[in-house]
Amino acid sequence: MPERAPERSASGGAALPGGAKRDPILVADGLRRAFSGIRAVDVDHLEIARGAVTAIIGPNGAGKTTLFNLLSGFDRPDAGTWSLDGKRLNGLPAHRISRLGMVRTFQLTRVLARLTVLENVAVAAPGQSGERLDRALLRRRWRDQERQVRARARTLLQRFGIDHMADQPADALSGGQRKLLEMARALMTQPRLIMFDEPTAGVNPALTQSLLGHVRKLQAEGLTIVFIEHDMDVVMGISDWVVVMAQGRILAEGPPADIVAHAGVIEAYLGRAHGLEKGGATESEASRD
Amino acid sequence: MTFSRPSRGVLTLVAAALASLLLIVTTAVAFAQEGDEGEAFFGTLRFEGDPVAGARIAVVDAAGDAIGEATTDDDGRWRIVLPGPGTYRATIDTDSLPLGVGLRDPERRSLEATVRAGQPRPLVFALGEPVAAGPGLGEKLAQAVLNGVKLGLIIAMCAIGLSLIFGTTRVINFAHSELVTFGAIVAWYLHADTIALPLIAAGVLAIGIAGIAGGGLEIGVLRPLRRRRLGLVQFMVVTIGLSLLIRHILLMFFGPDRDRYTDFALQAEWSFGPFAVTPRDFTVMVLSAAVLVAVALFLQRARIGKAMRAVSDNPSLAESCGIDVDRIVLIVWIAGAALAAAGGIFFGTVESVDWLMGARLLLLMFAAVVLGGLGTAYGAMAGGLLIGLVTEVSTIWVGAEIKTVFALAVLVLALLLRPQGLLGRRERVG
Amino acid sequence: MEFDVILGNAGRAGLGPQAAIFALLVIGLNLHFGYTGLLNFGQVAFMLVAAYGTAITVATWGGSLWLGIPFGLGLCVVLALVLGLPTLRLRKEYFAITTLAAAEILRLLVRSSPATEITGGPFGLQAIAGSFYALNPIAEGRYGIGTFSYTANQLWVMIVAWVLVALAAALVFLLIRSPWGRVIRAIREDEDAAASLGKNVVGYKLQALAIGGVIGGLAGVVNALQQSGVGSESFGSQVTFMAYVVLIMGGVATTAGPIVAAVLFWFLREGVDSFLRQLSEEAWLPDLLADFLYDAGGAVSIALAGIALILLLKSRPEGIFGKRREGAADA
Repeated sequence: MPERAPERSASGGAALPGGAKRDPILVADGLRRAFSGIRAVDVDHLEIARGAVTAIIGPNGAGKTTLFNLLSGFDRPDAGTWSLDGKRLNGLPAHRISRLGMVRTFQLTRVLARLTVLENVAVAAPGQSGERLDRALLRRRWRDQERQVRARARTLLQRFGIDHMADQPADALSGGQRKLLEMARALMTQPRLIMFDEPTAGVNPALTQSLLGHVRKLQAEGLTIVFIEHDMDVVMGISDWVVVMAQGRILAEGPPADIVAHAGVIEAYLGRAHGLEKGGATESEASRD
Repeated sequence: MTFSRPSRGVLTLVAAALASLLLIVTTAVAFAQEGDEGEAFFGTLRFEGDPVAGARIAVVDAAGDAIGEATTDDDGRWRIVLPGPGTYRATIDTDSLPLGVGLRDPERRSLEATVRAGQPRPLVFALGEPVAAGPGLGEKLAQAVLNGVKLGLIIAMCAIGLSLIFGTTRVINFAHSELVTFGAIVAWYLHADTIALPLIAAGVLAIGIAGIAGGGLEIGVLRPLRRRRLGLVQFMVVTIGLSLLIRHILLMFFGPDRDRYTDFALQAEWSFGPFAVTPRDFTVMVLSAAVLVAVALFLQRARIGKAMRAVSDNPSLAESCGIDVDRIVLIVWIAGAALAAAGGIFFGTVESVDWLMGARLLLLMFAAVVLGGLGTAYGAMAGGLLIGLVTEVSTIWVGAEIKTVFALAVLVLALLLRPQGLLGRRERVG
Repeated sequence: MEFDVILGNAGRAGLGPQAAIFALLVIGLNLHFGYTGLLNFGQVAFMLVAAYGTAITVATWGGSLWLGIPFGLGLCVVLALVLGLPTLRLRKEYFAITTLAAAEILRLLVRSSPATEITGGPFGLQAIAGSFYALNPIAEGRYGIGTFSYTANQLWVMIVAWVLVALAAALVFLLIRSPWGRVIRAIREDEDAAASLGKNVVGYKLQALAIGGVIGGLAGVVNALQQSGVGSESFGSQVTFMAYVVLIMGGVATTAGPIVAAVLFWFLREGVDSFLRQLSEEAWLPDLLADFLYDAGGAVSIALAGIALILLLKSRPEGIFGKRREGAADA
C-alpha cells in the first residue's frame, strides 16, 4: 500500500502554490506558454506527489488543458523544464513521454472509432515486437506475445465492464462506455502516472460514481493520478490534493478541505467561483475538430 | 505546364516554341519508326509554325574536330550522322537564318549533347524574333514585378472562393479550376463566337452565369452529399469528378486549341519609367485590385460577409448563434464561382483562353491559399500576390518553363517554416 | 456496330498492363490513405521517380536494367523520407497539397530543358527494356480472339505485372493484419490518441508512406517496361486523381477493392471509348454529332467517368467492396 496522502505543504498554509512534496513523481519549473502574446500557462513550480490523486481546478481558460498538453508533450512550452521521476522530459515527443509511464486522456473522448473495442485496448500495449516493421510479416515472432496482449486487454475490458462489446467497433459504444474504454486503454500502457482531462464531463451521475470507483482502485494499485475537473463534488470526494489555476498561474494548492476553506481567497481572485462548478463550452471551442 | 507571358510577341514565341517542340517530337517518333538506327543529331527548324529552310548546322566532336554539316530542307528538317556514340556539339549558323529570324535565347546557339549507341538524338534550336541587347537587370526586375502583380491579382481573385469554400465546408474544391475556365470560355462564346457581344458585356454576363453555375453545383451536388454526411475525402473525390466532368465537357465544345478575345487584342504599350504595360493589362490590374478591395470591405462590413467569416471560423458555433449555414455556404459558392470566373476572364484577356487554363492556375491557387492560411480570404489575397510575384520574378534567372516550380517550392518552404500559413492561427490539441 | 470488337477492346484493356499498373498504384495509395489516413495527392510522384530512376540507369548511365529497377524503387524510399519528414507533422490538407505540389515539381523538372542531358527532357528516354523482353519465355505471335488479344511481349509484361499486383496485395494484407497494421489504423483514426499511447506517429507514417510509395513505384517500373521508355506526360496529376477514383470506387481499406476496381475502370473506360468510336461511324448519325463524337470521344468517356463517380458516391459512398463503416472514411 503506497502512502495515502501527500504531506501538507511545508509552510502549513494550504493555499500557497508551489509547495514541495515529500516524494514528488512529477516536478515542473518555470513552465510558460503563450498563444499570440496571450499567456496561457505560467507555472513557476509544481510538484505532483507520488501515489496521490491530484485535482486541477480553475475557471475556463485557466490553462489547465494547456498545462496537460505541455506536460504530456502535445505542445511545446516557450520556457521551463519538467521531469518524471527525475528524468527530464523537455523536448521529448508525446509518444516518448507516454512510454516513460505518463499517459493522458483527452477532454473529448478519442476512441479509435473503426477499430474494435478489443483492438483499441490491445494497440496500447507497450513493447509489442509485432509493431516493428521488420517483424510484422514474421507471424511466429509475435504470435505468442499477441495472445498475451489480447488476454490482458480482455481482462481490462472485464474490469471496466465492457468486455461484452469487445468485438464491436468502438464507435458503437455509448459516451460513458467510451470513457471507460479510454481508461482501460490508458491502463494498458502500464503507466506510473495517469492524467485524465475531465473524466466525468458529460457523464451521468451513476457512471460518474463508477468512474470514481475505478480511479480509487487505480490509486490503491499504486498509480499516481492527476485530473482536471470542474465538478467540485467530484473533487472533494476523491482528491488528496487540489491545485487551483487561473489565468495560467497556480493560485493555490492544498488538501481539498483547506482549499474550500480558502474559498474566500479564491473568490477574491476569481470573482464568484462559478467557473469552478460549470464545465464550459468556451474552452473546447479552440479545439474544434 | 507553361505560362506564357503577357506581351503578344513573347506569347507567339512561346506558342511557336511549343509547336516546334511538338513537331520535333513527332518527327523524332517518325524517324524512330522508320527504323533509322545509328547515331545522329537531327531536328526541325520552325519559326512561328513555319519551317525554316536553308539554315546551316555544323557538328564538332569533343576534341573540336568537325564531324559534319547539314542544311535544313524545305520542311525545315536536318540530320547529321555521327561516327559513333559520344558527346558532340552542334552549332547553328545564325547568319544563315532568314532576316528577322533569330534564336529565342542567343546563348543556346551551340548545343552539346551525348549520343548513345544506336539512338539518334533530337536537338532543338528554339527560334524566335531576335532579341535586341537584353534590358538591364533593373528593367527586367521592374517588368517581372509588374507581371507578377498582374498574375498575383488574378490568382488572388480565383483563390478567394477556394479558400472560403474550404473555410465554410472543409472541402478542398478541385473543381475550382474549372470554374475559372468555365467563366473564360462562356465569355469567349458570348464575345468572340456568333453572339459577338463586346467583351465587357460578355464578361459581366459570363460572371453571372458562372455564379449561377456555382450555386447550382452546391444545391445540386454538394449540399445533398453534405446532408448524407459524406467524408471529407469522398467530397474531395467528388470535386475531382466534377472537375474532370466540367473540364472535358468544355473540351468537347471548345476544342483543344487556344483562342483569344478579339477586343483589346492589339495595343501599344504605355511606359511609366521602367514599367511598360498595355492599357488592357493596366485596366485588368486596376479592376482586379478594385474587386479584391471590394471583397475585403464586404467581408469586413456587410452582415453576410461577417457571417461568412463566422462560419469559416467555427461552423457549429455560428450555427448555434442562429446563422443559416446552408445559406452562407450557398452564397460562398455563388460568389466564389463568380470571382473565379472573373479571374478566368481577366486571365483570358491578358493571355489566351483554352480548356486547361484553370487547371494550370489550380496549383498556384492552392499555393496561394495554403500560404495565406487555409480558410481565410485575406490570406488567399496575400498568398496570391506573393505566389504571382515569385513566379514571375523567378523568370529573370530561370527558364519560364520551370517558373511554376519556384512558386511551388516557395509553398513547400513556407509550409515548413510556418505551417499555419501567413495569416492562419495555430490549433490546439485536447 | 460490332459489339464483339467493343467487348474485345474493353476486355483487353481490363486485363492489360494499364489496369495492372493502376492496381499497383492504388494498392500503394490504399495503404497510405485507406489504412494510414495519409492524404497523399502525389502518388504519381513515386511512379515517376521509380520509372525515371530505372530508365536513367539504363539509358543515360548505360547500366543494367536489373540495377535500374532497385535503384528506382530505392529512390521511392528517399522520396518518401524527403516528402514525409517535414510534412507529416502538418495538417492533413497541407500534406495533401504539399504532395500534389511535389509531384508537379518533379514532373516539371524532369521535362525541363536543363535536365535534358539526364532525363531526355520533353523527349523522355527510350529503349530501356531490352533485357526484360529478352527473358520473355512466350513464343512470338498473337494470343487471344479478335480484338481481345495480346502480343507475346504484351503478355509477358502482363504476367509479370499481375504477379506483382498479387504480391503487393498480399504484402499489404499481411501487414495490416499484424500489430503493425493495428498501429497504422489507430493512427488513421486519431493520431493524438495513438501518440498518447506511446506510438511514434511520424515514424509509422513514414514507414507506411515508404511502403505504399514503393508499391506505387512498381507501377512506374511496369509502365517503363511496358513502354520500354519514360516520358513526363505519363505522370501528370490526373493519374493520382484517377487512382483516387479507382480507390473510392473499389472501396477504401479493402484488399480486393483496388484490383477489381482497376480492372473495371479500364474495362469501362476502353469499352465506352470504343463504343463511341464505333458510334461515330454509324451512317444514321447526323454528321455534326458524328464529327463531335469522333473529335471528342476521349473527352466524352472521361466526362462520363466523372458522372459515374459522382453517382457512385451518391448511392454507395463506401465503394463496391467497402464495408459501410470502414468506407465512410473521413480522413
